[in-house]
Amino acid sequence: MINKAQFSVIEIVLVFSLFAYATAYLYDSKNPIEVDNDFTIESFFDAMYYNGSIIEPAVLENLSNSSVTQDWSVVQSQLDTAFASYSLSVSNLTTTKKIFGCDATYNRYVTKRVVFIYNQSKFNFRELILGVCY
Amino acid sequence: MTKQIKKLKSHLGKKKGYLEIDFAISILLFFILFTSVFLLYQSYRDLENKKLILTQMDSEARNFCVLLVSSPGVPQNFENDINSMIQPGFREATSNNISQAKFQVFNSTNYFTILDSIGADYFIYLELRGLSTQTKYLTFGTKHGVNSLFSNYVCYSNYNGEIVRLFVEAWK
Repeated sequence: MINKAQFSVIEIVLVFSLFAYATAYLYDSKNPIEVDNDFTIESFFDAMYYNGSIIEPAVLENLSNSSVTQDWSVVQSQLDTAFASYSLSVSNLTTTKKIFGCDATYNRYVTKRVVFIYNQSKFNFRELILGVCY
Repeated sequence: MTKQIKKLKSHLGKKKGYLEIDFAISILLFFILFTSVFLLYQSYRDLENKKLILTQMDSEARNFCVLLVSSPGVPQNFENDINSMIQPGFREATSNNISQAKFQVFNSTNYFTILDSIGADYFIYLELRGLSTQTKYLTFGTKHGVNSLFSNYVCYSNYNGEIVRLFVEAWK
């Protein structure tokens, strides 16, 4: 025969189980499934790169000047169609210049492409750094 | 003496009544809590199953998107003979652009033949759209219904001098 004290123990255990499940359930239902968007960003940067629209302003941008010297409107309109918030920088070995900027709330995915320039019988390069903010 | 025995019997009778009520409440509480926990667990399991299916759909949509924009397909000239297709791919063999001949094969081939060839576990919807002109170059399959589970992925490539957006949706 189960006595009152044993019933109380069962009740307490069940109440704790209930709260444990409820907590786990609420935590999981509020935790959205994370989608890995890295290839979306990489493929977009590749498409821009092969499209050529980003090459000219990247090559001609004067990095020693603090303000933007080239027309980036085409690149901006392309980026606007794909991402809500993004940053873009151009760099050589020594200087990095921000063209567009964004503040990440949760995370920022950053990817780079290198553009080689053959000018006055020497190779130079520009690095393009795209960041997508979440 | 008789009075005392009667009083004791009455007291014991009342106590027995209280114990029975307490026992009944305990049983009731036990079943309410047990049912609640069981229902909550079932709901949790359903959610977990949905998550598992969504993860598989994510993976399928992503893999299909990556495959189509990165690969020219196997064999590379599968567009000439759809029956020879082992694996689809939209990319031109000699450049990083998307080939019109390859994606048009999807328009002219039976939906389920394509799904079989890629070994899809779910229904697939594809949409290829130009970013600047907003021209829809390809629509393959149908989008998910109201009560369907679905997952989608977006990839980009070039077609005809324009950046194009490939939207892939896997649904059930």
